[in-house]
Order: sequence, then structure tokens, then C-alpha cells
Amino acid sequence: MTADAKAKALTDLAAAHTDFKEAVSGIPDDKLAVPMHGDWSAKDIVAHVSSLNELGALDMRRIARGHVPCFAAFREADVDEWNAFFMRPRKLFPPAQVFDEMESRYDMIVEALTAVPEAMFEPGSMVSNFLMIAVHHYGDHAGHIREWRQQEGV
Amino acid sequence: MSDKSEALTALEAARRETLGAIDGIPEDKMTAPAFGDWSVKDVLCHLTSWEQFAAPDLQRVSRGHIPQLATFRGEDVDEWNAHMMRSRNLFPLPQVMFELEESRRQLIDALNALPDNLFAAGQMARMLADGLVHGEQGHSADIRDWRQKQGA
Repeated sequence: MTADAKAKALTDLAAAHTDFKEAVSGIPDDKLAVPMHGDWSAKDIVAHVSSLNELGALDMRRIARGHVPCFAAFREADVDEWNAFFMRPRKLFPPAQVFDEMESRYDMIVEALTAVPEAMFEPGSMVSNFLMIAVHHYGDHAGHIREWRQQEGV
Repeated sequence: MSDKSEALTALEAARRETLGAIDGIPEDKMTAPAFGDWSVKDVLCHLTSWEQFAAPDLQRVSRGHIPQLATFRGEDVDEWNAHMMRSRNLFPLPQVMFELEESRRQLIDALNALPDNLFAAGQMARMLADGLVHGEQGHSADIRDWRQKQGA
């Protein structure tokens, strides 16, 4: 049961990552930095998704060790503040770096999750809740990008 | 001694000072507010948080990428500290001690992977290492002062 839960979680995350990559694939360079979701550009959304994976990887390693993750202190009301903190430095990242980190941060979180014991993937656990959020997060932002591309003919 | 060895030696010395400064503090004193609302445990967590932030940035530099610290301005330090500490203030003392050691190992690995020329005066790795050393020395001095006043 738990082995299945872990395998499914990793498969779902892989599918969400692939879908997100398809959503951002082929956006011309001159459109990548144009604001399209509030003041965020498509490039910023990619960097934002990577920031969650980077932070999540560190936290999954903490959970695997039986330690408290940073996410334990997260409250939904603070989401804008967390996002602003993590995005401020990433706004400077050029597209090539952002796309490189899209892959490397995904690899990082998969590697961290692979080391998490299967028993920690039970539905309702912190790991499974994080993964559910991560998958939805990918999907939501892929949707924003597709919608914008359709509206703008990008 | 090369610039890189000098930077690594200074980091090692600063860490020895910190470990000496906290040696023997009873557990209940480690978590008591000592510097404003920060405890000694919080100070250790704070040192760790910067090293955890710095290590991936050094890896960015080694790939020729822009580090997050490129946007850091001295006047924002309180805001950065507050954010990094808020997500860590639930960490229990054994976790903080584990991460203090682990983050240092990762930082040293990341520094070792960089070419020597990035450790010359004014270069990114040198400035970062010097900043970490300076910060750590200040905090270990604060801990010693506090222990003396408290008799801890």
C-alpha cells in the first residue's frame, strides 16, 4: 500500500512537471519576461515553481530524517509574503538559468523524495500533503500560462 | 596559503569559536531568550540558515549563474533574517545542532568546488565567506558576553 502510494506520488509529480514544461515550451524570448500574471512573467512563474521545489527538497530531507520541515511554520495567510521573499532574488535570473533550474530543482526534489521512507507517503501525511500541493501548484501555473498564451497568441 | 585555504581556515576558526562559546550551556538555557527574543538556539539556527542559503548560491556561481545573494542589500538584513528564522523557529535543539554541522559540510563542499580565483579579495566567494566569518564571530562574542552576565 505505502510502496504504491510512493510510486503514485512520484508518478503524479513527474506528470505535473512534464505538463508544466509543455505549457512553457516554445515561448519566444521576448515574451518570457512580459508581465502576464499580476506582475509576474512566464519566466517568473517558472522560477517560482522551482523555488517551491528547492525549498521542498530541503524539507523532504528533513522529514526523512524525522526532523521538522520549514513548511510546518507556513500559514496560508502568509503565502504572498513567502512568495515575495523567494521571488525577489530570482527576478534577476536570466531565462537560461531559470530553465536550467526548472530541471535541476525538479531532480533535486525527486532525489529527496526517493530517500523518504515509503511509510511517510500515507494519505494525510505531511509528505503526501506537500506532494498534493506541489502537483496542484504545477497544474495551476501551467493553466495560467496556457490561458495567457491562448489569449495573447503566444 | 592560497586565498581559498585562507577563507576556509577562517570559517573553521569561527566555527570553533562558536562551538567553544556554547560548550556546556544547559539545554534549558539554550532555548531561553538571550538576545532580544532570540535564544542561543535561535542564533545557531540563524547561522545555519545563511549557510543553507549560501550553499546553493555557490553552486549557482560555479555554473556561471546569478546567485540569489546578488539582490541582497545590507539594509534588508533584518527582513531576510526574520523570514529565514520564521520558518525555522519550530526546530528543536537536536535538529538545530544537526543542521549546524550538516549545513557547514555542504557549505565547505560548495566552496571547495569553486576555482581559487573566486576567493581573491573582492570576489564573490571571498566576500561571502568573510561575511559568514564576521557574522559568526560577532554572534559567538555575544554568546560569551551573555554567558558571563548570566553565569550560564
